[in-house]
Amino acid sequence: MNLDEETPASPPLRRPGQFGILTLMLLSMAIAAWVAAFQLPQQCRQARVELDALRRLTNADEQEPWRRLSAIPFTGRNITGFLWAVYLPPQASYRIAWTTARSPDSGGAFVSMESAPISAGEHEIAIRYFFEDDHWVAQTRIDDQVSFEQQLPADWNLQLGSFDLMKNRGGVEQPANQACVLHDEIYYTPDETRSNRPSTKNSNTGLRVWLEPIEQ
Amino acid sequence: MTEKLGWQLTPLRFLHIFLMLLTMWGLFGTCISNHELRQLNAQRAQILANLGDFGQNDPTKFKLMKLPSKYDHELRWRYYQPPGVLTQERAYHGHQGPGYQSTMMTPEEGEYLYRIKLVKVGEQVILFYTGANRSSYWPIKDPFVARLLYDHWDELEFEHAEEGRIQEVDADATFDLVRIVAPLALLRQLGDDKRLEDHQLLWIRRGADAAFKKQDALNANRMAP
Repeated sequence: MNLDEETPASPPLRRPGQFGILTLMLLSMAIAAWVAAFQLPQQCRQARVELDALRRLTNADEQEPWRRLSAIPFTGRNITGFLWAVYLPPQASYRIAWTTARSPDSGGAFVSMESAPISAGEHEIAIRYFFEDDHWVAQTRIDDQVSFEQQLPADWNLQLGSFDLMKNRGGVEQPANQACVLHDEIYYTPDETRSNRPSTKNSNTGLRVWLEPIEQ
Repeated sequence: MTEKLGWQLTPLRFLHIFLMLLTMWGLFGTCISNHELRQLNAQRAQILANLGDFGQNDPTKFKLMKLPSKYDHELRWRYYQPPGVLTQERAYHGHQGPGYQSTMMTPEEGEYLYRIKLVKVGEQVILFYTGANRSSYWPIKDPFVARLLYDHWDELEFEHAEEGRIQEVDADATFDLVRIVAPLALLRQLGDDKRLEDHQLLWIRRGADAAFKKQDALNANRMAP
């Protein structure tokens, strides 16, 4: 037998659609790998959704509202002025400050006029102003004790309206090291540049009351 | 060249190579996803070890599970709110008389963490209550009740679901989150001789608004002459 003359075996002829066992195995493996590759990301997506919900619970578990400053306004018909329930956490010292004038030197910003330390814990802070005889009386009370009181001239509030930054703000809960504004009102005065229409543009009067941490 | 090596790229061989590459690509993707899934499951297991597992339960019912406390003077629960149930919560404060403080809500379906924590700030004792995306606090104004709660916390009686056990409640019923009671023996020990029975300090009941209304109507009928 002459091996040199032996012709190489030609691959068996297959009809279209007829495959060998190797082809079928490779095809099955490819399908299995791709089914897994498509299914696992879906399971990952589901796991991520579940994990996000669990993380929200963990975040809620880590919140410590007793270490945060809280201020909740009281609303009701029987309340005169503005009444707040305030919680000051014990890890910081605070003061309450107020002013009834905006300083023209500081671009119309409010500058602290009077301040007093306020102890940590829960307090009721009442802010009110009323017209008496020929003057205004502005007052801030803490736990029913007058903390600040000032008699102001009639033109302090011309009753032309006001711009109240705190209006409809609702309650706040915030980090203990940030100031918290309880009342922020600017009274309108006639604006000569707008045919004496009332505006806050040249107004130097208003009422602002806020709480701030004392830096130690 | 291919003839010299005795190898020809026939269509069938091309198909085999293509299928092998496809398989490797698929396996690569599977390995990456599998690794990510294992990491996600490990994180999930870690959180569940701390917060407990509700598992696959009936999503139409309220679910509650008492969790171990992390701090002193604290109670924690994991809570599931079924969808679309107008829910009412009533908090009875022993120091404020027989009335209760009611809150109506329809929280989004889902899980929440409820906590009660008693904090002493100076001379004040304040009870913080955090729940479905909100927190509130109640200052305990009565000094005797404040002392009872803060200084004798461990001697008080707590009625709540067993720790770690899932409590399932129908969406048309009510359930107690907690009831804190000062036993008569403790009251006597602290010199309160006026009371003849245990003093209920705090009771938080929650459930479907309709169920509360039904209970109120029943109670009103019982009290009617």
